[in-house]
Amino acid sequence: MDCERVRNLLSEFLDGSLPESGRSDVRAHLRECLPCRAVKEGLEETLRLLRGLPPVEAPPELLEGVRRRIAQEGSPATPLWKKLFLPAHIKIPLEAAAAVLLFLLVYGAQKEELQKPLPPPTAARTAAAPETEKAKEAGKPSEKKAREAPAPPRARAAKEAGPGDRPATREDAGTGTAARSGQPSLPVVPAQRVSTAGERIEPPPRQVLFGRDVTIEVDASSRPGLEDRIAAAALRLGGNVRVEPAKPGIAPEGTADIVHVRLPADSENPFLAELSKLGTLPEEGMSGRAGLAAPPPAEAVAYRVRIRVR
Amino acid sequence: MSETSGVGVDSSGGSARPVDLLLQAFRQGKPGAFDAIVRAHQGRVYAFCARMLSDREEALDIAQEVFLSAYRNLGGFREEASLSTWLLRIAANRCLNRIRQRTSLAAREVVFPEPAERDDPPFQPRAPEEGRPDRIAENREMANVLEKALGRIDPDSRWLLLLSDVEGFTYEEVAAMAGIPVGTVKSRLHRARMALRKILAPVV
Repeated sequence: MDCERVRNLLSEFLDGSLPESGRSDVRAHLRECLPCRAVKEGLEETLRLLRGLPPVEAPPELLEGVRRRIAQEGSPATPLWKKLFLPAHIKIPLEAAAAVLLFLLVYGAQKEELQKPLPPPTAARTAAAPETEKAKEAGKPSEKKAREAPAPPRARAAKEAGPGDRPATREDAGTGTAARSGQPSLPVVPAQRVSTAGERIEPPPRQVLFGRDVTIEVDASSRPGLEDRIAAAALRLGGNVRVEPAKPGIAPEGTADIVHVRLPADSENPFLAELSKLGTLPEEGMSGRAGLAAPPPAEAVAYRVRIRVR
Repeated sequence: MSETSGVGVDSSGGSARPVDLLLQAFRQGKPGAFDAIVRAHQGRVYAFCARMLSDREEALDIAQEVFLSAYRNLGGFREEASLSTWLLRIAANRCLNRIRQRTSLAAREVVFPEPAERDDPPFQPRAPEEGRPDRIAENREMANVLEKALGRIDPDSRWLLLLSDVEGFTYEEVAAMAGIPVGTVKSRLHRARMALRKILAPVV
């Protein structure tokens, strides 16, 4: 048995808890190894000191303090708080689990509510619809039925919701204000809504304000100063002009610049005529409408004139 | 101060298991029974706390807490262990909690104040030739030296050392109190004893 092994067994050897075989091995080693014997004697002495520590007399304040604390507590032999409340190490995880469960329940209920299909149309409408169809088939639609049948969904929903239920929309507010002030109303983009009857309300046909996208093709020789000539034509017709240099890599190939023109609505045809004098307006370069970031007001027309060099 | 053990033998069931008469008296609601329990165990509990915490004031506070906790919970004490074992287990847990509450720096300051800050002279172990260890071990000064050395042992091992070598519990009892395997108790105890031996080497 080596020294390290013997030293690790010294505590058990001294406590008498080592099996007899181990004890005889340790004893044999200690007989021959002086350093290990010194360690064993030192450990033995330490244990003797520990076991011989004198008893400590408790100060009299101890019992007095215990009495005082018990008196302050009343009679907690059967503590009520312990019956009413769980200990914190149980209570806190329980409360946390309850909170998570509650959240999941609420979340799940809301999700289910959102995913639920819309309810069928109201009884009045379902009754009216077959009648309308019958009338159509007969080729004699009554005036009343005819009024009900082709009514746009939004109007229909408004009718169903009733005047009290109908919320004031932004559009309503806008038109009301405009009527009062005599100014043109702002363009309205209605959000998709659902009536109180649960039916989806389709947005009304949107009054879209677009400009025109026009491409003008010119020879390289005619290109210099073309923006100025377009601008001059626009200004003559009472419009205004902004020139935007073409963005390399973004603008279509061959396009040099874009000229943004705004004109009074009645100057549309004269302007196109002016443009056709300055260059060629290829058929594919005349878009019907082009969405503009800032659409013109109703009384104006906007052009995005792209200059392309042949 | 009368420190009666208050322990008898349960003769009714023919068992040799000791019955704590003071505990019985407390459960029967006899006046003064709890005072007697405190008197019987306060020395041992207080000494354990003082040696664990190296601070007499804190030891007094914790010992009072131990008895207060015992007063609250004696109704549920099932006597699987003796009352003194139970009280020492409460004391050990309370002491360890108190030690953990201190910052490690504060703990060191309490146990080992810097020489400039403390009132008593610094710890200077006496040379072996100044006296035979068996002569000085019994006196108070040696006990103080030993208790200071104990304060330098890691608290998690210190309480095993106190329970085993000062209070005389077996490895198995210490393991049950600490809730760790017997093998772990043996190894930790051995390391703690060797560490203590190293600290005391200049003296012993």
